[in-house]
Formats: sequence, structure tokens, C-alpha cells
Amino acid sequence: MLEINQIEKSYPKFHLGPVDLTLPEGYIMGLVGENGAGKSTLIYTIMNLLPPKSGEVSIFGMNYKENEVLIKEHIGFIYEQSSFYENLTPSSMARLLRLSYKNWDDATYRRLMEQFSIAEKPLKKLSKGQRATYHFIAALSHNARLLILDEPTSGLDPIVRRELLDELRRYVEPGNRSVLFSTHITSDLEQVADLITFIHKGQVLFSKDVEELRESYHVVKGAKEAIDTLPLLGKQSKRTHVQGLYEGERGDLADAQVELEPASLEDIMFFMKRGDEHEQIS
Amino acid sequence: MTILINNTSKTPVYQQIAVQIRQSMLKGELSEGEALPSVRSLSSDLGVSVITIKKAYDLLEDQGLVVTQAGRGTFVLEKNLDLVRDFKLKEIQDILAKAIDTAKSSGIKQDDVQEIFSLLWEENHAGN
Amino acid sequence: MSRFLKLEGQTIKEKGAIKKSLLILLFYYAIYMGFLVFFNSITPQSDVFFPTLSTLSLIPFLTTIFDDDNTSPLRRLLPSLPFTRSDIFLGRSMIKVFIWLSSLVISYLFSLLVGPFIDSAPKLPIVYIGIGFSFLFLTIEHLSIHLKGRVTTLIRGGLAGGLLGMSMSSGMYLFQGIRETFPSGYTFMFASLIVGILLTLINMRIYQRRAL
Repeated sequence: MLEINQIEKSYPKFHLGPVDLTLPEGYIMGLVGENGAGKSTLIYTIMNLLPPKSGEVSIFGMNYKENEVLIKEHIGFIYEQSSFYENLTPSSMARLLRLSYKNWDDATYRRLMEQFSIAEKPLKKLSKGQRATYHFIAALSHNARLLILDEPTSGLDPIVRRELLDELRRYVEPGNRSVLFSTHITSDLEQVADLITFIHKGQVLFSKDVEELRESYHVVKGAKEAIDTLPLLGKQSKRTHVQGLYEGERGDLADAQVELEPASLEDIMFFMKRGDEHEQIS
Repeated sequence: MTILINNTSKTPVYQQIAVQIRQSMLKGELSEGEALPSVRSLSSDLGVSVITIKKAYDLLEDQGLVVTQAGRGTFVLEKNLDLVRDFKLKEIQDILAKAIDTAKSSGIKQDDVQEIFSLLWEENHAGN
Repeated sequence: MSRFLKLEGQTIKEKGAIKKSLLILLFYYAIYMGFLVFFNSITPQSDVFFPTLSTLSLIPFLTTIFDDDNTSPLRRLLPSLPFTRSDIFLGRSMIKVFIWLSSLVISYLFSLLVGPFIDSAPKLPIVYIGIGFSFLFLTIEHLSIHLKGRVTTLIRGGLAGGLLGMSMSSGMYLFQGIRETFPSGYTFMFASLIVGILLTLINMRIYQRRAL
């Protein structure tokens, strides 16, 4: 569905890529990384809002040069909560969106508007959460085959977030739609993601499915002597123990005098960052 | 079929799912040739990645309990019958062991127990 | 592109922009007329009135129809909708041309209306100069398609103020100077149209290539 080949983008102080990414039909991929890692840049490139220095983006087997309108017809996009006309009300904005998208799905739009009780006020007068929810609803309401969401849940309270993520999983259930979801809220991804791509300083450190991830990364805890001998991706020393991230199979460390736990996404991000900083210092 | 997963358990979620489906099958809740829920609907329902569901189904397939046909779904295998029988036999064995225990500890003889067994078996037949 | 125009048309409708523009237009006219009446100093009006007014009339429409608040839909919303950058640019250009033609008509009629009082009814050369000058102004304003919403609004405001101020002081000399250089006015109009169109073509190339 979405294929990214060797995308690179250069800025004076930042370089993205080369990035390779594949998102098959029917899956939700989380794009995770700390602020400034390059998630938004990558997303803008995928949306053709930024031209890449090199590389290609292929969506539904097509490219932007030849099929820009057709592609965008089938993409639902959320980036920045303020991208709609602020002085218009949700209904006004919906009329405009209806004109823009051939496959507008009014039934879904109405259902979600009611479910989330969005007030009929000018968008700039809605709360941050309601605005974000509205953007989400709009993205889900035109039968888009690919949803590209850049931090769609920031500013939302946990309950609304959970409901929207549920909607997201419902959205891909038919099997012919996909979602690319960029965020630094790892718990969101743990709720819905099938695939995770981790970006750090403009590089993709890994792109794996959630089961592979669970099998590959473990948090290791033990006494300093035990931990120091192990090849870890990152470490943190506490008063009573040392902990770190191990990449490999659980069985590898069966003999070591350590405690093993499955690593959460946050753990992975945390330790990898530490490992990175440590390398830079030494 | 009820499936309950515990996200905080040490057992991986896919294993929990596979085990529970297997138990369902052995209890006879799922019949031969019956389709398991679609990967996607189960994923939605349990709030778990499709990858995880697929892994659970793969595990069941490895264990010879189901077969996945591309594009059509995952179905309970017929070979299953034997396993159900084995499972039930074990259940019966356990129940009988308990009965025997009770008898022995109260000093009741084997003949008495067997008489009760025959009577009950006849009753049950007649009832059917 | 027709779908894009439908979208913009509906947007204008949803914003109630036409009504708003006309009100602001009246306001501008009132200020200008008030000033003239008060100072009663600049005569004859025939050289200055129509060119100034036709250019001034553009501003209320441009401001209300394309007001972007903080959101810069040109940079954010529209490029992510199913339209090409060409659609967007050409669509917007067409709307502006339409605004321009409307401004010309409205200001011409108004000039005739108050003609008897301040001798503002323009003769043909002045009409040509007005057409040319306002077109140049429009194409320069159209460069703001690259700017962020807030900045554009400020610039338009500045231009409006500057224009009003100029028309009340040195405007007369400017237009008289043009008139003297191009007595028939026709050459000026022609040259302005060409320069304006070239500028817009360059503008278009830049917009099509540009990143966010």
C-alpha cells in the first residue's frame, strides 16, 4: 500500500534517511521517536508537502508525479490541529470537505460526530480536544484507504483517546485500509499498532511487527557485575541495580544472573537513546 | 466462545489466546470444520494486534488443531475428534478417581459402586 | 480545477465573505470621500479618483475572501486535499481576476455617481491607467500566496493604508506623471498587463516547485 524507497531529505542541521518503509494493506503502523527525530519530516515527504532530496514514495502502487489527485482522494490526513478554517463551524467545514472528496461517507461522519458530541461552534472556539477529535472524525469520513496521522492524539484526554483509537482499529478491520500513525505517546501505539517503526535522529533504527518486537527486546536487570558483561543497547545505573536493554532471544540470557522482562516501547526508546548518548560521550 | 486475556501476565498474549481456543475445542464448543473468528474481528474484539492473533492461529496450526486456508479463514481440523475423546476420557478418569477415593475412605466396596454405576448408566440411556 | 473553484466558491459562501467585503468597501469609500470633502484640496479629481478607487476596491475583497487567520490553508489544508498545486494556484488567480473585474466596474460606477460633485468621472486615458495600475497592484499582491496567513493580512493592511495615504497626498503627482508619460493611457495599460502576467507566471512556477 505504501512503499518508501531510500527517501532522503537534507536540512542545514538535520538529515533524514535514507529511509525504507513498507506498510501493507490492513495494518496500523506506528511511527515513533522523540521530538525532532524526523517523524514529521518523513510524514510531510510522504504527503508530498515536501519534496525529497532523493528517493521515491509509492502509494497504492502510484506516484505523485502522475497521480497526485487520485492518491490524495484516498488519503486521510491529520497534521496540526489548526489546519481547517478556524472561523467556520464543523458543519460549514464538512460542506467544504464533502465538495473536496468524492468518497465522502456521511453516515460515518454523522455517527462519529454524535458519538463524540462535537459542539456546533466556530472551530477556534472549540476546546483543543474537540478540535483534535473533529480532525480525526474528518479523516475517518471519506473512505480513505490510507490514513496518515501526525500526532493526532496530542491534546486529547485519555478517554477520548482510547475511543478514537478503538475507532481506528475498527477502521482497518475490513482489511483494505492502512494507517500510518506518528506519535511519541507510546501507550497509544501499544493499544493499536501492528507494526512499529522507530526513528531516531533521522534514521530508522528498526521497523518490526509487535510480536517480533516482543521477542527481540528485553529489559535486563541485575547487579552491576552481571550486567556489565552483557552486550546491551543502553544502560541505566540505579542505586540498587543496573538495568539495560538487550536485543536478542530470551534464551540467550538464561544462564546470566539477571531478571528479564519484556520491553515496552517506552523502554526501547529510553534505552536506545541512552545508548546513543553514551556512545557519543565515549 | 469466551476468551479472556491478561495483559499483565507473564504468558505472552498469543499463547493465552491459543490455549483458550484449544480448550474451547477440546470441550467441544467448537466443532470440526467450524471456522474460527476472522483474524481481524478477533483483533478488534480483544483489542490486540492482528499480528498477535495470527501468531496464535499459527501456533494452533502447528499443533495440528486447525488449518488456515488463504483467503477463506482458519478452520478446526477433523483430527481433533480423537483429542476430544482423549480429553473427555481424562475427565472421566478424574471423576471416577474421586468417586473411588470417596468410596474407599468410607469403606464402601467395589461391587456396591459398580452396581450404582450400572444403574446410573441404564437410567441415563433410558432418559436419552 | 473546476472542483477546486467549487470548493473556493463554497468557502466564500460559508465565510459570508461577499457581504463582509462590500461593507468594508463602503467603509473605505466613506473614508476616502470624507477626506476629500473635508480637505476639498485635491482638484481636479479626474486624474486620481478612478485609478485610486479601482485599486483600493481590491483590498476589502482580497482581505476577507482570502483571510487566513493563523491557519494558512494554502500551506496546510489545501495541499493535502485532492488538488494539485497548479489547481490551487490557477483557481486562486482566477478568483482574483474576477475580483479585479468587479472592482473596476464598481469603482467606475461610483466615479460616475459622484462625478457631478467632485469631477471624478474618468476620461478614457484615465480608465486605461486605472485598469493597468490596479492590475499591477493585483499581481504584486498575488505574490503573497507564498506567505503565512498573518503576514499576508498585515501586508494587505499596510498596502491599503499606504494607498489611501498616497492618494491623499502624492497620488495625484504619480498619476499625473503616468498620464504625461503615456498620454493615451493605452500603452500604460498594455505594458502593465504584460508585466503583470509575466509576474504571475513566474509566481506560478515558484509556487509549483515550492515546499511548505
